[in-house]
Order: sequence, then structure tokens, then C-alpha cells
Amino acid sequence: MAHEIPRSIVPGTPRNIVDALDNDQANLDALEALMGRWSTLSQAWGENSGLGAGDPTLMLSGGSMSASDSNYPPFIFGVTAADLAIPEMTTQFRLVATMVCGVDEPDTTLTFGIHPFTGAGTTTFSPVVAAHYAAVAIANTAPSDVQSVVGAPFVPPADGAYGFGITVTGATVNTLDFSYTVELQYRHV
Amino acid sequence: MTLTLPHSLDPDTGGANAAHVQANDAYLRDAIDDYHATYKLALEGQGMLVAGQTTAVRLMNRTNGSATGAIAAGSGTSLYVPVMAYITNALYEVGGYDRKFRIKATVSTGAVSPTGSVSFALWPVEFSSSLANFIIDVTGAALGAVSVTMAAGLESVTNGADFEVPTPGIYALGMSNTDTLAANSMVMAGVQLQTRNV
Repeated sequence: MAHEIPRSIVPGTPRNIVDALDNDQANLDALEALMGRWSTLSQAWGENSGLGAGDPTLMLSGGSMSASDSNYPPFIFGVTAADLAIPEMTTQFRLVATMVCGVDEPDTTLTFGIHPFTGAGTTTFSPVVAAHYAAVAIANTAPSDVQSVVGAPFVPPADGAYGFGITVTGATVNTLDFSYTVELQYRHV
Repeated sequence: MTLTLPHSLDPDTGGANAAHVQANDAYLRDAIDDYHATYKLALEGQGMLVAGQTTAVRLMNRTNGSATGAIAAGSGTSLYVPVMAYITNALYEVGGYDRKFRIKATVSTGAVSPTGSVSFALWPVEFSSSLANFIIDVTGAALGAVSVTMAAGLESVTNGADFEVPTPGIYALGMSNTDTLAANSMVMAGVQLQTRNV
């Protein structure tokens, strides 16, 4: 176990005291294991039938949005450190992404991330999407592919509004749909 | 960082170690309380309001969005599923703790202020059906409403106060605007129902 109570038991120590301290250690280990389990903070999904290389786009339930979009709301969520704070523990985030496609694969690298953005724009809704704060990538897609990647733990971003985004390093080669899910998880270590 | 018990076994017997056990127990109890007090995700949905939409309760959804990204209460729908759940206290029960809920609203607007404010909340809902679709309507007061004043270029995260769900039933996440949305304005929102135990 991660933590052990240093001790030296002298002859004559009551057995119930020793047992109680053993129980303390076991309970602490169990509690840390519970806190260290990954849980969902937010999740998103989408599908696309073709994406051009370039700036990240926020993910929608129907795909992803271009510079402005008046049809679908993007997956946006708030990060508030105080929601998750536990004294003496560190909060970690990670991303988990899954992609499925048909016989026409995207044939490019798909990068899923969380992005800070600002709402102001020159059109009805044209969020300014910054580079991703953290991301996971799915590369080397194949026909009829199913891939899932688990990102490394990262330090939570500053409090604020974020959106799930998708970026491709090169235009998707084919035009048939591919679908994906992304989950932002957290734990305490 | 990790949790560290405050006391280990002293090289003596009797009273000091008994006190240490009590201190450790209290420390563990506090740590467990801290864990249960963190907010956890219960429901999550998206929605949008567009220019010209009049005041109404509209329900968030997480499926392929409608043109307005939210379902007007009292209207029929056969395509979109609102973000809803049958909520009872037992679903969020942790022995020895009370259940608390909270609304967390992340809101973004465009370059034009939508005017007024928008409230995000949990609404009790009911359903009826027709040949083509089913009708969803709210049946009571909103729970845990958090109001966000609209402005141009808004990007905000607002937490409501803790509340309790007094009656088991079907509830849905929704939003309600106080004013007709101004021309060329738009509201995008991500809303979460969070829960914790205190």
C-alpha cells in the first residue's frame, strides 16, 4: 500500500490498540484508492464527414463548428477548482477519446482537446478558440477502425469556460462519417 | 500530495496510543467528509437560444441538436431527447450524509447582447404522446435556478446554491429567458446538475 504507519511495538502494547492502528492504515489506503479512481467531469461526442486541416473547432453533438454556427450548441463546460478540492490531495485531469469509422477512414491524425475560448465575435456566435490546453491524439486510422486512447494525467487548467475541440493535422481523406467520443476525467492523488 | 495519518504507534503502552487512535479516526473521518463534499456530475446537457425567441422554458438536450438546440416545454418532439432523469434521494444516498444538488451553468454569447437574463435549473417534467411524437411539459417550479445576466461577448461559469430534490420524479435540465432575444444575438450554454454529500 502507498502509506504505512511506522511503528515499533513494545511488549505489552494492548492488542486492541495495535489492531486499531492497523485498521487506520487499511482505512486510509481504501480512502486513497477511492479518491484515486477516475471519474467523469464532462463528456462530448460528435461525427464528421470531412474536416480540413487548420484551427481547432469546438465539438458539437452533430460534429464540429466552424467559425460561426447557428445550428447546434457546442459542448462547453466550466472548470472550478473548488468543486473538487480535497485538502492534502492533488487533483489531476485526463482525456479519453474513442473513434470509430467505416470503410472510408479519415486517414489523418485526430487531436481531441479541451480549449479555452472567448464568446465575443463579429458574427452571431463566433467563439475565438485558443490552442488546446490538453489533448489526446488518434493517428494511423484504418478502414473499419476502432481506436481508443487514454491521455496522461495533467494539471487542471485555470477556472473558466472550456469547450471540447477537434483538430486534424491534414484534411480527412475520405468523406464518409467517422464518430468519436471524448471524456474529461479527474481524480485525486 | 497524499493523506498522512497524524499518529503512529508510540513505543509505550496504554493512554497515549489510545489517544492516537482517536486522533487518527477523526482525521480519517474528516478526509472522508472532504471527499464526499466534492461536486460530482449527475446530468449534463447543452442548449442554445437564438434571436427572436420569446420567453419560455426550454429543455437542454444531448442528442443531435434541433435548430434551437433546446426543446420548448409544451411542444412535441420526436427527434430530440431532453436531458432528464428519474431522481430519488436513494440514487445519491451515502449513509450518514445529506444529499445536495447544484446547477453549474457555462454560458457564452456572441457579439450582440441577447438582453435580459437566462435562468438555468432543474424542472419537474411530464410527458404525453400523440401519433407522431411525445409532448414534454414542466409541471412545477424550477429547482436550484441560477440566473445569468446577458451581455455581449459573455463567457461565464456560474454556480447555483445547493438545493435538495424534495419529491422523487422525472426532472430535466432547462433554461428560461426573461426577454425576447435581441436581433443577431445568440446564447450557448452547457449546464450540469452536480451532486455531493455533506
